[in-house]
Amino acid sequence: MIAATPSTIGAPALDVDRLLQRLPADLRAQVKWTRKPITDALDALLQSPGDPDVLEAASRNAMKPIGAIMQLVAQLLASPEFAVQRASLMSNLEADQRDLSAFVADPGVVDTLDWCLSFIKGFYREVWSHLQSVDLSAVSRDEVAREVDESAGAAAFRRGVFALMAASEAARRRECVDDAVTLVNVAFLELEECRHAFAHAGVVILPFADETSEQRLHRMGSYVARMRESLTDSEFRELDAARLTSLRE
Amino acid sequence: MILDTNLVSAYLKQGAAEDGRRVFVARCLADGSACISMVTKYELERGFQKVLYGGDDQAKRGAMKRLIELKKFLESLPVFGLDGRMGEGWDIAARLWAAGRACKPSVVFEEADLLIAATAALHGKTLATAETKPAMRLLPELASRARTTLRVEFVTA
Repeated sequence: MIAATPSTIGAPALDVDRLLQRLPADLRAQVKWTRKPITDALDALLQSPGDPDVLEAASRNAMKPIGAIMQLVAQLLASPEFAVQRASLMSNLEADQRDLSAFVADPGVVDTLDWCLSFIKGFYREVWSHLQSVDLSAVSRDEVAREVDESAGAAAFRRGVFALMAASEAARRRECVDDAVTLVNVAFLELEECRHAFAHAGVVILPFADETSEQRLHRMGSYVARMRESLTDSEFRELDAARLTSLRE
Repeated sequence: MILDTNLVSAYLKQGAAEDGRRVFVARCLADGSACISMVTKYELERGFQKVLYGGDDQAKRGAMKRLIELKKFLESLPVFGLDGRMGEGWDIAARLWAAGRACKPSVVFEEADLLIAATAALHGKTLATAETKPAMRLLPELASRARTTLRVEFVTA
């Protein structure tokens, strides 16, 4: 079972402003204060996009304001219009993905972003399938913070999603494309770690659960084509040298 | 079909499309039978990671992109380990090793070959390999002595 945290009880979002626009005005007013701390955390990460310590600290600093927004979103999700709200949040995420894909442009990175977003959507599908059995009011912020400290999977998810939020912010500001690419790559590695941690706990989330075998084959073909294009002879020599000949080497 | 590391590596390398190893792996991917051992995942990942750790910033960026392509590729394949069923795969590997060492002259495997073969035997899969070492030809017979069953398909370039 996936633990209840600000990320998991709330909703996926790379662009917090876009998410806030979905909230009724009175709810939006309640979380007006969150804009600055989230922007500060994003600024910190955009200054050092490849630094894991900065990612850890910035994503942690952003947890409280993001958590406040997510709790409001969770209230909407618990409303009778659950299906409508869910569809609307998913369309938000797809719009975020389109914008960021257009910015990074490189097919390999666009594809990595697609993997990340497909995983996140699969993650929320899993979470939302249990939502009716979770008492949202019982998930206090203190409990939420403690849970994030305890679960390696939740921590990787927090870092992965925040790295994508920063990449999305770089795209909105039209900043350095290389930084956005780095952040997408970092997000992939974090979300992959998250996937493994949840699988270890018995929750297997497949990023492309609904694809046909032809789609899967096509996807794998594109990974291989990009590796073939870019791998050098010296890198292949490194690969050969990395064969496991003895457990004592 | 458990694909040996040498087959996956040959598949990833730019080369002739008619290379028998590439054709074989492409066929296994197309019919959905392709899978790998955790050992192969480990070998490939550590090779890519070494490039990532060794180069300058620009080399690292390129290596990171390739590592992620590799990871996405591997994530799309079933990966089998030795730890299932109370670590029985390790027992099979131990028996295979001992059966080889008991031969006269003794048959010695590289660790990866032995562990990948044991993984295939544990999961009832055929091992597909491009390995040409004579010891590999003896694997089915040694597996029988080691009280297990192993089918091996040899693939040539």
